[in-house]
Order: sequence, then structure tokens, then C-alpha cells
Amino acid sequence: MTLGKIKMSVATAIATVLLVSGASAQDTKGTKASAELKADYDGSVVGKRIAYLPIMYGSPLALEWGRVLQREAEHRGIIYELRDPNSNVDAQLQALKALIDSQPDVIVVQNPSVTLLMRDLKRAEEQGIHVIQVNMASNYRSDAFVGVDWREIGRMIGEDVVKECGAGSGKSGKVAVVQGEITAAGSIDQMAGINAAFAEDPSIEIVSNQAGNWLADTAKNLTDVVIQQHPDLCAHIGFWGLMQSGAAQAIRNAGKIDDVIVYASGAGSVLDCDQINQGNFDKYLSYTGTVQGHALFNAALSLLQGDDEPGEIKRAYYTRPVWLDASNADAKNCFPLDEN
Amino acid sequence: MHDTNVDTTKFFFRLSSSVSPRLLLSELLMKKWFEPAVPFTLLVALILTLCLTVPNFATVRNVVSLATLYPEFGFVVLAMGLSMISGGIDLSVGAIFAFCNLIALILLLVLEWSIPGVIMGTLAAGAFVGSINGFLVGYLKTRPFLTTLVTVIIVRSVVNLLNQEHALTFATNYVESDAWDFIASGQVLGIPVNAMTLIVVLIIGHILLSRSRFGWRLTAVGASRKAARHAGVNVNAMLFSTYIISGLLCAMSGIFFAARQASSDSFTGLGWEFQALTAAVLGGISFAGGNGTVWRAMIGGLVIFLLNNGLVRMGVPGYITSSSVGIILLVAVAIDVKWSKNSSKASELLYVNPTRIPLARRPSIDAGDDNPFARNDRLLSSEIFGLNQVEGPEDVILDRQGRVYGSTRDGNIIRFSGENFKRREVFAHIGGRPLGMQFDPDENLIVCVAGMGVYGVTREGEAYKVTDETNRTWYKLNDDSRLRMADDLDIAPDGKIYFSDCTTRYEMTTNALDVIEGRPNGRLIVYDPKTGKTHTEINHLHFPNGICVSHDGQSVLIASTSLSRVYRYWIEGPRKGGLETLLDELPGCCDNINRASDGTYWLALIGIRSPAFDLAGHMPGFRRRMVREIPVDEWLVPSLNQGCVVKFNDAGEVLESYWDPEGVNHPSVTSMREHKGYLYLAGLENNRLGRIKIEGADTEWTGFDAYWGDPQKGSA
Amino acid sequence: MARLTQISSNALQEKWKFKTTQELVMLALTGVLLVSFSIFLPGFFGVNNFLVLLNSIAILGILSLGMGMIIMSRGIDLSEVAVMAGSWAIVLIFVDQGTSLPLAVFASLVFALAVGAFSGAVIAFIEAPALFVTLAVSFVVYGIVFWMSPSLVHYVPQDATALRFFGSGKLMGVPMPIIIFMSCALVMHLFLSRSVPGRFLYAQGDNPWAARLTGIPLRPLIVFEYMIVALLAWIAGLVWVGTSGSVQMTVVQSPYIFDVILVVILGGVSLVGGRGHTLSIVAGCLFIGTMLNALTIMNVSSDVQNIIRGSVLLLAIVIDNFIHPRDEETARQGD
Repeated sequence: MTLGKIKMSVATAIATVLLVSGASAQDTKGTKASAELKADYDGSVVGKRIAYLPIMYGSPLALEWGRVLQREAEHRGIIYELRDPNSNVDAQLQALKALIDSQPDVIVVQNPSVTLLMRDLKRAEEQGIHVIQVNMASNYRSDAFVGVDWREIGRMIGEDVVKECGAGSGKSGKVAVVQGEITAAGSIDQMAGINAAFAEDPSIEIVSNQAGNWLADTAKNLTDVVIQQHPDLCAHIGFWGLMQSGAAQAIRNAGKIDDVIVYASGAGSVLDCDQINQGNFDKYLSYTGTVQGHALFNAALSLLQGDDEPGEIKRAYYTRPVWLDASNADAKNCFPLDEN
Repeated sequence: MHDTNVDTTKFFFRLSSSVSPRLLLSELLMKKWFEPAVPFTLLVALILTLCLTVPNFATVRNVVSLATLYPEFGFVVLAMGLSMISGGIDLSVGAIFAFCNLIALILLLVLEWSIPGVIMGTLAAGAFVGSINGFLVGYLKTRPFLTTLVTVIIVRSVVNLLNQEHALTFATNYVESDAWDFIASGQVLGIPVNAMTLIVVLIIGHILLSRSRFGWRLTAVGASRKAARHAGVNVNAMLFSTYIISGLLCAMSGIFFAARQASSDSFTGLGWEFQALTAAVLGGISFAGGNGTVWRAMIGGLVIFLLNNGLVRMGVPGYITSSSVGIILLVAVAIDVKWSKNSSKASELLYVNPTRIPLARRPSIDAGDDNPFARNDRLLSSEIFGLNQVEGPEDVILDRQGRVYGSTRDGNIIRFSGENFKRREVFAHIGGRPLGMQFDPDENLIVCVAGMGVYGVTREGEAYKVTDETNRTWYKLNDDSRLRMADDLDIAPDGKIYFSDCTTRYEMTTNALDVIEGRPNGRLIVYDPKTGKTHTEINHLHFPNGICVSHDGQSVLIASTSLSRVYRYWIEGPRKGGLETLLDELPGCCDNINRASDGTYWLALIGIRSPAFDLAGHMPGFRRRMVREIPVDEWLVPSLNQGCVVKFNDAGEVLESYWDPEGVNHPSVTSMREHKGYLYLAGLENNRLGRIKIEGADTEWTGFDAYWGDPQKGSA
Repeated sequence: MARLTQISSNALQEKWKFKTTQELVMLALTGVLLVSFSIFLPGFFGVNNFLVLLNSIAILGILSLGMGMIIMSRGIDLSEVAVMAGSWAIVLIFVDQGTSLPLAVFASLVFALAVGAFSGAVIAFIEAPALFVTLAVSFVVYGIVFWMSPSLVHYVPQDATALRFFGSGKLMGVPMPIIIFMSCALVMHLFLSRSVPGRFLYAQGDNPWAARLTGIPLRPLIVFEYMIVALLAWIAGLVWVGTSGSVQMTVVQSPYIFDVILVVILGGVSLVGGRGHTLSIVAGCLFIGTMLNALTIMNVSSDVQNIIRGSVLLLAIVIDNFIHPRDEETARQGD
């Protein structure tokens, strides 16, 4: 079942309930079919426990997933638990082990790397806990993965860069990249996607490819040098909005903000949208944090309602990256942070 | 005499004079293991809190789970602690851990080595990085803080580069191996194998650090490089090996992590150096070096580990965790600083704990009274010899050739011989502070040496150790296995050496405090030359001083200075093992006891009691304030400006006394010996020896013959 | 007269001898790097690149001035980065909540100074080790800021041009960060070499007990020093928000503070205290800045950069040790 179908069926069910209740106001029970459907649903989800273990509850993406999960889960009578290791991977590993010992029904986990939690995720499923990995899958494939396809993100940006700066554009074709972390799987895949796209057009030249380690200041310092060395830079790609804002600032400081096309990608929070609207980012590929949050919850629902034992099935729920620019970076496409 | 009532009273007296909360506290504060009391309390409080607040915390399953998770960090804290004890710091512990974890995975998954090969290879890798640190710090003498900080940068980058290269292999390769699985999740006696290894390493580390030459040298280097170098320690090599050991410990940690998580990324061991540093200091390992144990490292490590673990499991938001760790760290460090700064002061303040001294009635010493204690001037007629040639001879003794032995404060035994004892020679140099003396049957001079123990000097003047330790009393906090202040001795017919160790709480220089304290801190100890064993016979005597085996060899007479009393302790016969009071109601504090030629005994009184002194004995609070608030020379002590020797018999009757009422010739006499009709006198603070002729004494009687018989006359 | 010349030349010699310390080594090494990169690395030589180079070390430099000073006084302040990021995050949070910018800036200055005073007071009066106090304080500051607003990043509002001026503006063609850094360095130099508290600070670093015995009010001095460090951190934060347009609290968890310590020690400020000069800190900054700039131009990956940087640092440490070995007999901890 795809995400769309789930959504559709949920919507239909709600509509039906509304319609029926509207038709006969006196009848408190409603139709038999819908009551049975809801009873089955409640039977398999009410009182279940979802534990959510991000890397750091404070990054916009993790906040949005948590917000959606919590709101949806609590509405449905599902117990929601949050563990915040605050970027301390040792604490995250410990929290995961303790969570497994406490036997929740579903664990939603954000991997810090492809290997660290791998064994424990496997152990969790062996002990009857469904595991949903979000954002980055580890080397162990669990019941479900929710997130973007990093190669796709890289490829989409790469193709757009080729379109803007490639042969026939009349531009220099010079591109600078600030990766997140060179060893992070997300960065590696994204870079692979970019490289694949660039391979199509030999006029594109990567003049600088450095790791900013997710810090805006590092990205700024790197870009300071790059923009000085290559004043005719055509595009600048950064792997994360919050980090890329530093690079954009460097470009702005050098007076090149109107000449260089600044690409960024990220959660799609208002923080990034502000950057778009301020003219710092020209093109922004959003992972749509809110949609991912709903996808997470729906993945959890389908696991809870299904008969499959943990570890039996391997599903993936890729969300569609959405291009944002000054024309559509508004409240509709950007989630706010203060609704927690 | 032996009715129950008296025994009960005695028991309570003993209890009240041995037990006191203040005493307990002061002795606790002196203990080395009590130093990390604050972090330990913190750890216990933390565990209790977590048990109460975190669901399922106090379960076996959780404990096992924690025991699986902790050791890796534990090894790293240990490595950090060790480098700090050596006076340096190893900030690269986290990076070496990450590096070794990676090397283990590469050896296993990429190079596909056998498991023993992987372990040895990883250990070698850890030792290698450690040796770079060690070489730089030890031989090139770079600064450890800076050097290891730079090593972190390099090692971490190498890890990242290798990670990039091998990430795919790690993801796809898998090794099926029971041995590797055992390292990952095996158990020994129900304890996870990594925790077991940590325990073993801790025990070895503890022994190495506290009992081995290596550990002492390491601590010496850490405490003072200069002193260590002057003591002949190869400082460079010590530092070099410390960093290698640190690297090895991190490698162990890396192996276990690799086996369990099979993961290597840029986060592995990130920030562990500061966590380990925090842990080590929290546990009480000093930055200054030279001070620390493996257990302190573990206490600190556990606090940090459990704090992080507990807070994240409570579902506490990350920023509160951060603040809590910060605040707890602040408070803990502040308390620890205050504690370590003030605990020694507190223990000094609390150390002297006077108690009530049950002194018996004080007899009159007025001249002219019909009383054996009546003051006279019989010592004024003494012939003085060795003037300014001895210094503080506590005891005096004569050998079969009639030569006189005295001692000096700097540890020499001085022998006087010839006409009028004009010939002076240094018979032997023992060191320490020689006190009581006695000849054994082979004419070896056995000497009690304060601060050292019991020593012997052969006829040729060669010193040897007899004994310097006894069995430790299991229920005493104070380690009393060492002989603190062996005071006087005597030898029983069977050759056993009975000697007094007058205090277990003070030293030669502070022994007056023990008298002021008035607690049973002293003991009677026996050394058996046949077995070579030393054993404490009585461990609750009030400043036992003079020791003398009775003429019949059945009992030992013990003089208690602070109680002004003489005990008889039966060593043979039907009442063997019994202790009874022989002599009470004495006018002064007793010192040495020696045999007299007529079957009686000589007893020296070092100080003479006064009404004020006796009153003070009933006022422990007064004496405590006195010691604390006024200078030593203002303290109320018995009168030392008189010399007195009394004679008593086996029935406990005092027969006569010899006085130097103004202390002109022999103030505060501490010992006397009869020899061929003369009584030889000595004093602990005197610069002379002397003798008086005893009216009507056997002019042929010598101490040696009385004990061991005259070989010319045949056995006595 | 001749005698006077003699004296002054002696003094000069003394001074020259004094200068053949680490800062000279550092400056010489930096010079060698500058010349060789200028010759062999295309794009390195040029006013613009030099400005970029200086610009990139401005924040590091300002932080290093504070760290250097506090290390000279035999302390250390690991909370510098936290204070820098925290106090400016507070400005941005306040502004976001509707407070006027000047008021928010003033509040953050008070906050920074209060944190400095607190660390200083705990170190001075409780006599707790500075390393721990400041480490703990940085955790607490991090927590406080997240408690105020749980956002990973805080942006400078578009209309706060005054704020941006300090990071991105130029005065007579020179970027403001460079001007701020140089002014701070000058003031610090004057403070350390000309002012009474500055001289006291050296005395304290040399031997705090002796300094106290001579009547120096040691405890107030310590509090004052930590407040200066906090002030410098605050100024560094000003440049930070001005250049990057945002504050990211995660920088507190990054090893940035290590870089600051490295620069300081590289410049010859000994961890034993009492030794070091403002010039030497600037020299250390220049050295690091030159290397980073050249390596970035060469597009060397950050890990390889780190390995090169680390190796050069090790070499510098070893060379320094050969040139002026420590007195092993009196060498102390934490050195």
C-alpha cells in the first residue's frame, strides 16, 4: 500500500463517519461497518507504545517528526515516548538498548551512521519490536524506512545545476560543494547523485568540494576562500540549509549573491524558507519534514495493524523532495518550529 | 578480684576509652581509601536516584545491560587516569579507542585475520599510537596536553579516511566466529566478558599501581619528577611506558566495541577524552599527578556513565541533560575541592581525642613521712660519667665484661669502658631512636628502636633486624601492623622477646600526646625467635612502657605510663594469659622496670604527678582544648624536674625510693640497671649516665648472669 | 653617552634575545609558509586573498586573545565558545520575541559578563579547577539557551544591518572583522604590557602564591580576568553573527575550542602560565590561518588537511622544545 492510498483510505473513512453522523444526528452509534472498522483499528493500535529516538531533538527535522508523531499518536490513544540523546551517540546507543529492554511496540530511530545501531536494531526486531528507521537507513534493513532517497536529492540538484550552469548556459560551469561530513552515508550518496548528474555534462567543473561538518561557520570560511579564488563561480551547493546559510553569507559578503546560484536542501522549516525569502538560497530542495512525520506515523500504523512479525517485511517509504524558491517558500510549504 | 562486677566495669571502661565517634572520624579521614568519599557518596546517591526514577533500572537485566555498555568507557577512563597519575595527560584516549576499533574491524573484515591475530594486531595498534605519544612526551619532552591534543587531530582524521575507504566492506562483510561472538556478547560466571576483563584489568592495575615497583615509580614520577630522577628512576622510560599502557587499554576497549557494535564512524569515541578527564577528576585523581587509584577512576567513570545513561532514559530533553551534567559537575568539583582541602585539616583537629584517665590515689611524697615514697636525696651522690657523650639515653645496660651501653638520639649505641668509663666508642649505628635494651643468651644486644621496630646488635657491633611488624588488628581502622614506637623489651627464659609498642597513634616526636589522650593505644607484643613470628599479646594497654620478665620467669611486668600503674601478665603457669594490676597508687608515671639483685624490681618514674595533673586526668575536654589552643611548652604535664627510682617486690609492695628532688644530676630518670652493687641511671632527655652505690647489694650480681647464668659457674 | 648607548643596546639585545622565543619561530615559520605558498600556489598571493585569510582568523584570533590571557594567568576557559554562541543566541532570541536590538545586545553583554564573573568567582573563591568549572559552565550555558528557545540555529534578522556591519562591513577597504581583531589585539597588548592589572596577571601566572603574598588582590583579579575573557568571547560573537548571519549552538559541541587552545599554545603561551605575549598569539593565528587558507585553495579534503595541520603542529612543538627546552626539574602539570 502506498502512502497515497493509506491517506486516501483514512480520508474516506473520516468522510464516511462525518457523513453518517451528519445524516442521523440522533443515532449515536452510526453505521455498523464503520463502527467495526474503527473497533478493529482501535484494537490493534490503542495502548500501543511508540518510542522515538532521534539524534538530537532540537534539529528542525527531528522536532517536526516528533511533533507529528506525538500529535497523531496521542490522538489515536497510542503512547508516545521521546528519548533525546542530544547528539551524544553513546547516549543514543544506551537509550536504544534500554528501550529494547522496555519492549515498546515500535521504535522510530534516526541513525547517526549506517553501522552504529545496526546490531541493536536487529536485536530489537528479534525481540518482537518493530523498527522504523528514518532519514538514513543503516546497514540493517528493518521493517520500515522513511526518508528521502539521498541519491535522488543529489541527482535532482545536480541536474538542475547542469541546466543552469552547463553547456549552453553561457556560464562558467564552476561549482563549489560543501558536504556535511565526508564519511556520512547521506553525504556520500548525495555526492554520488550529484556526480552522476555532472557526468552528463563535461563543462561542469567542481572547483571545491569540502566538508563543512554541519557548521555554518565552517561553510562560511570555506566559501570565503572559494569565492575569492573563483569569482566567476556559477553555483554553490550545500548539503544542509542551516550550514549552507553560512556559505550564502560568505557569497553575500563577497557581493556575489546575485551572481552565484546558491543551492541548499533541508527539512523545509521556516528557518530555511526565511533564507530563501531573504535571497540567500536561490533553490532549495525540501525533504518535507511534515510529510515525513506523517509517513512515519502511517508506517507505524501499518506495522501495528499488520500480522507480520518484526523483521519479516522490509518496506521503504520515500518522500518526494519538493523544490522551493522565492515563489513558493511560504507557510504552506514550510513548517514552523514553535508549534511544539 | 575477678568477680563479674569488676569485669563488667573493666569492659565498659575499655569500651569507653577505645570507642568515640570523633576518634572514628579522625581515623577515617586519615585513611587513603576514604579520600574519594565525596565521589563515592555521589555515585551511591546517583544509583539510588536512578533506581527510584528510571523504570526497570533496578533489575538484573538492566544491570547486565549496563555492565555490557560501561567497560569500553571504563577502559578509557582508566587509561586517562593512569596518564594523569604519571603527571601527564592523554587526551588522545578517545581517538585511540576509535582507531583501534577501526583497526580491529579492518583486520577482521578486510584482511580476514584469525581472531587471535585480530586481538594481537589491535593491541599492537593501540600500543603503537601510545608509543608515539610516549616517545614525544617521554623522550622528546614535549608537553603532554598539547601533544596528545594534536595526536587527536591526526588520529581522528586517519580514522575518517580509513572509514571512507572501508565503509562498504564493513557493510557487506560478515565473519561467522564463535570466538568473536564470545568477545561481543559472551558471559563469564554470568558477567559480560568485557566487564569481566575490566574487573581483571582493574585488579591487575591496582596491584601494579599500589604493590609493584612499576606503580611506585609511576607515582613517584607523577608526584615529583625531580625527586624521582634523583632517586634513580628512569623518568623518560616510565613516561614512555605509561602512554603505551594507555594505548593498550584503549585498544582493549576498541576490540570489545568492534566485536559488539561492528561499527566505525566519525562519532566513535567522540568527546570521550573530556568525559574521561571529567570522570578521572571527579573520582579524585589529582591533576597534580602522583595521586590516584584505579578505583577512583572507576567511581568517576561510573558517575559520568550513569548520569548520561539515566538522564536520557528518563526522557529528559537534551538541553536539560546538558545543564544537569554541568551543574552536577560544578557542585561535585566544588565539594571535592573543599573536601580535599579541609579533610586533612579536620583530621588534624580531630586527631587528638583525650578521654578520662582513671588514675588511682596519689600517695604522699613529702620528705620525712613514714612512706616509702618520701622524698630524699639519695641520687645526688651519683657518679656521673659519659657527660655530653650520650644524648638522650632512654636505657642503660651492662654486658658481662662490665661495659656500659647507652644511646644517642641519632641512632648510635655508645659503649663506655675502661677506668671510670672514660673510653667511649660507637658500638653500632642502627638509626631511628634507640630505647630499651636487653642482652639475649648469645650476648647479642637487642634494642627497641622507635619508628623502626626491634633490632639486634651482635657482639661485633653489627646491627640486624629482629622484627618490625606484627599482626594487624582486624577491627581497627588504623593500620597497626607496623611497630610505631617499640619502647622496652625483655627476654623470657624460652627466648621469646616481649616488648612494648607504646602507641599506635603517635610517633616518637608526638608520643606525649598519647599520654595526654589517655587511651589504650599501646600493646604488648611478643617475638618468638624459634618461629620468627611476631604476635600482639595485648592490644589495649595505656602507654605500656617498661617491660620486665619476673625473676621466676612466669610473668611479665608491664609499666603503664599514662595510668601510673604496673601490670603483671602471666606467660607461664596456671594463670597464663591473665593480666592483673600489680602496682597502683604510684606518685608518678612509670617508665622502665628492671630486676634487682635481691629478687625485687627497680622502677623508674619519668614524671611526678601533681594535684592539677590528676584533676586534668578527669577532664578530657580540658586536655583537648589545651592541646589545641596553647603551645606545647605550656601544656600541663607531670613534673619532669625530679628524678625518682622506686623498688618493689613481687607482692606489689613498694619498698623504698631514690630521689633527685631538684633534678640536679638525673632529672626524669627513665631507666636504671643494677650491676655488681651499683645502680646505673639513664634518662630520655639527659646528656649523661650515672651510677650510685647501693647499700647492702650483692656486689657479684649482674643482670646477664641473672638471666642467662654465669658460664663460669654453670647454668643458673 | 657611550655608556647609555651601551645600556640601550644591551637592552635591545635583551629584547632581541627575549624575542627569539616561540613567537619568532612562529612568525618565521609563517613567513616561510607565506613565501612558499605565494611562489608555488597560484591564487594565494594577492591582497584580496590575504584579506580573506585575515578575515578567516578574526574570530579565532579574538577568542585566542582571551584564551591566551587566561592561560598566561594560569587558568583556562573552555566556556569561551559557549559564551560566544550563547550570548548572541540570546540576542537573536530576544529580537525574535520582539525586544529591541540595542536592549537585547545590552542584555547579552550583561549575560556574558555575568557568566564570566560566575566562573571567575567559583574558580577564585572555591578554588575549583578552572578546566572543570568552565567546562561545566559551557554545558549550563548550552542548556540555558536551548531552554529559552529549542532551535538549533538562530538567524540575524534581515533588517539588523548594524549588526551585520561588524561582520561584513568594511572600513577604508579593510573588513571589519580584521579591524576588530587588530583593535582587540592592540588593547590586549597594552593591557598586558602597560597596565597594572596586566603586570599583576603575569605575576599571578608565574606564581600565584607569591603574587598573593606581595599583596595582589588575587581573587578579585581572577574574577576580573574571566570577565575579560567573556567580554572577548562576546566580541567574537559579534563578529560571528555579523559574518555568518546566524548562531548555531551546536558549535559548542564541536572541537572549536581545541583550535583556540592550539593557536594559543602554538604561539608560545605556556600552559604553566606567566609566559606569552599578544604578538605571539597573533603569530599563532597567522600560522594556522595561512595553512588553512592554502589547503582550502588546494581543495584538500578536511581530513587530509587535519593530518597535515597536525603533523606540522607536532613538528612545531618538537622544534620549539629543542630551541628552548623546558626546565624538566621544575616542569609542572597540565603543561
